[in-house]
Amino acid sequence: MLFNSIDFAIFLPIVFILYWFGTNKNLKQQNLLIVVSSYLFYGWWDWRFLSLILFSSIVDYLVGIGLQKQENLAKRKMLLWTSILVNLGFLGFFKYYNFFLDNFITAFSFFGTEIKANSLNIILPVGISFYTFQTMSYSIDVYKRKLEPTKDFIAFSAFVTFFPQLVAGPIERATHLLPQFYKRRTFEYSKAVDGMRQILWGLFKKIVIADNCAEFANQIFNNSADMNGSTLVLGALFFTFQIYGDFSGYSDIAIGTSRLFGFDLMRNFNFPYFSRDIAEFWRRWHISLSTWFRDYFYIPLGGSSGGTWMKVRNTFIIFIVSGFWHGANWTFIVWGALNAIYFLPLLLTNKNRNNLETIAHGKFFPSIKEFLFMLLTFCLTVFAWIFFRAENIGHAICYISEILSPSLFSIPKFDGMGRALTTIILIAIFVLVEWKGREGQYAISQFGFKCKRPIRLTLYYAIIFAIFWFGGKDQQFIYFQF
Amino acid sequence: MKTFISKTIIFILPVIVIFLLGIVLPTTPRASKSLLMASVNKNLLLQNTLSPRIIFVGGSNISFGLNSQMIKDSLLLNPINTAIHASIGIKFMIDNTIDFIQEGDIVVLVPEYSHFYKSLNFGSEELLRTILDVDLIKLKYLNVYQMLNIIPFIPKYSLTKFKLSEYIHIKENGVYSVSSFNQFGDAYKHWGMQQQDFSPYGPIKGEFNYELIKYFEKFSFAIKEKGGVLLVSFPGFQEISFNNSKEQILKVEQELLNSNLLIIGSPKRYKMPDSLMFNTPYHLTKSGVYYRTKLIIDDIKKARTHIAQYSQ
Repeated sequence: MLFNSIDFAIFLPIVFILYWFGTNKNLKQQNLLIVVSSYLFYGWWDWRFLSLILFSSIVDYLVGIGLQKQENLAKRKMLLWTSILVNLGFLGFFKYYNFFLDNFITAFSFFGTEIKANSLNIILPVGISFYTFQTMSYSIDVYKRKLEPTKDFIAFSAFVTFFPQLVAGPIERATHLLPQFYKRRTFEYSKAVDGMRQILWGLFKKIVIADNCAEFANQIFNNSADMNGSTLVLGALFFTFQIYGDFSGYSDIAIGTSRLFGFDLMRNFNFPYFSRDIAEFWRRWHISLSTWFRDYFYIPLGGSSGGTWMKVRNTFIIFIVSGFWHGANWTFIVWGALNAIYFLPLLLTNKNRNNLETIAHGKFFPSIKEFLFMLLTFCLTVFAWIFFRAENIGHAICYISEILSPSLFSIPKFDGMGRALTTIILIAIFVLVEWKGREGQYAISQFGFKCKRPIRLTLYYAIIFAIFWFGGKDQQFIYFQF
Repeated sequence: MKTFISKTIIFILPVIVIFLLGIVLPTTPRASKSLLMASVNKNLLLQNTLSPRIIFVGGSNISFGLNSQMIKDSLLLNPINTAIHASIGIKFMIDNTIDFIQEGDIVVLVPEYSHFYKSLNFGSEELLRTILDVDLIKLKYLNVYQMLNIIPFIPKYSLTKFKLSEYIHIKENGVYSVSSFNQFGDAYKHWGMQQQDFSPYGPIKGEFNYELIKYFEKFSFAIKEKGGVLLVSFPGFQEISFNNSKEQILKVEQELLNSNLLIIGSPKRYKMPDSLMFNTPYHLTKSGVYYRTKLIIDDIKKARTHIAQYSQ
């Protein structure tokens, strides 16, 4: 079920009413309702993969209980590895099997050995990368004794399957989300209103910004061989805003929906395109994933505490693995490596934590220096997105080569340029609103407090009508494929 | 809690009122000159054209891809080109046609390839506009899935009723307007025009819709009951776009060949070079229309022997 679908528009109010009125506000009943509605939400897409979620939930639940009882370190390790292998096994099979097989065959054929092996027609279960990471965080935290394992299977299942964030995050930590399923939840008016506001902004980002940008980004990337350099630059820019609007829009809707049910999810985006360096960008982009990798992978590897070689090695590993997490394609690996290359100079000169505060804090305009650094970081990010969006490495290289050719200085040419101009104006308005609201949790979070009621309502209606008036053609959420 | 719910309802109410108002307001002058309005004339053709008849059903690959005069001259049948737009959905096109079928009719169904994937066969925005702008009675043809497909377009449709540009400075679009069709229902206004730039289609996405084949078989049976015959063929499709969706197109061919339907031609046969395309991968120039019509005439001629056996 998609957040921007009519199905979800019907589903959400029904679950909301049942949750607050049909369960006598009984915690167990509320959790059970969450599990049932989450399974329905996921099964709407493909019920066959519900068994994977159920199996993953059972394994991690039992591993948690086993870890509590077990004091023997070797046996504890074995239990932890069971959880990791099951979760990564699912991920490896459904997401990476064909990739490794194809590359294996190619590698052998390079040495003159022909291997006959058929790739499988595997459907990637939606959100598998998200919920497997979430359940692994539980087992790891229980293993490290950071978290008491739960004996309440319903609460644990609700944590694993919680529908607002099941298919595309934020990837929650068990230490943060699971305890919320144990506590009695009471309805808070202000929290619910804030949730609705965040949902509205998320829908605007997805339907107006991302879906409109997608039309042009898809057209330009799919036909890049016939496009001139300036058009390709526009294509990369459209994709830059598409992916941000799409994914951060999804996160806003997820967080807002959770608030309607009395839950607080972690923040996933913090205005990343206003970053002054790539380290700041990675503190602001897909925060739940980057902190997951930091805590469960980078730090166990030694982090940045060792010598220079260790820092370089760990940085590359973490970025490449993070890139590979996005998909079984070399383009994602190169995208990750490119970000590592951007990041390294900052790390090696200890400047990776220079920009911790919001840009131009308390002011409307940034300084010229801040603006130039922000622009540079934005350009580097746009460049890296070309690899992320390209079909394969060859496609990305051809795309970049054409950008660097004299055709960069010709007039852009593609279908629907009039509509593209409207989209560019919408992007400009969107960037302005995001800039104005950059110190809040999301761009319009402050409008509720600072504006008078008539202005506030006018703004909300304007957003609603903009969604319907300017809404782009319905597109799948990009991160569903991950 | 109750305050939250009541305030939310009060907040949403004006939005719903505006959308409902948009639905009940009369068709705008701009919409009344649109391509979709041609369905009124096409239904009159279905009603009044004398036998022996050949009826073409499909999306714009047919409206922008056929010269019915050539069909009439070669096959000595009275052609009716019912096609308007693929997004009306092939199910609606079939349901709308079936009431008009007469004894001896040959119906040639030519869906776009995308109709076979996901739920495009149920139509989208153009179906909504056909119902609300052209003929509300046709609502009777819609099933739940079609309704669900078109509901998301209602807000956007309603809001167009409040656009000033819908009421002033109305000019007919030369290619896509109610008067773009000739006496048989072929879109012909573009025949004298230059080719336009357009991008090929990317790969068709989504799962194959097996139910659609079953629906075609039901359609074929209903036509047979009325004394007619159904032939299924393939659209003229730009070569690059064809190659981008080769796997999906071959799947369509395979599934149709496995069915009980009478199939004419093959996807490869109707693969069109760039030089014959007008402004989309399905729309042909005058020369393209001539070429494609010749192919379909040959295929129908070949199929006539089978038709005789099939009708018995």
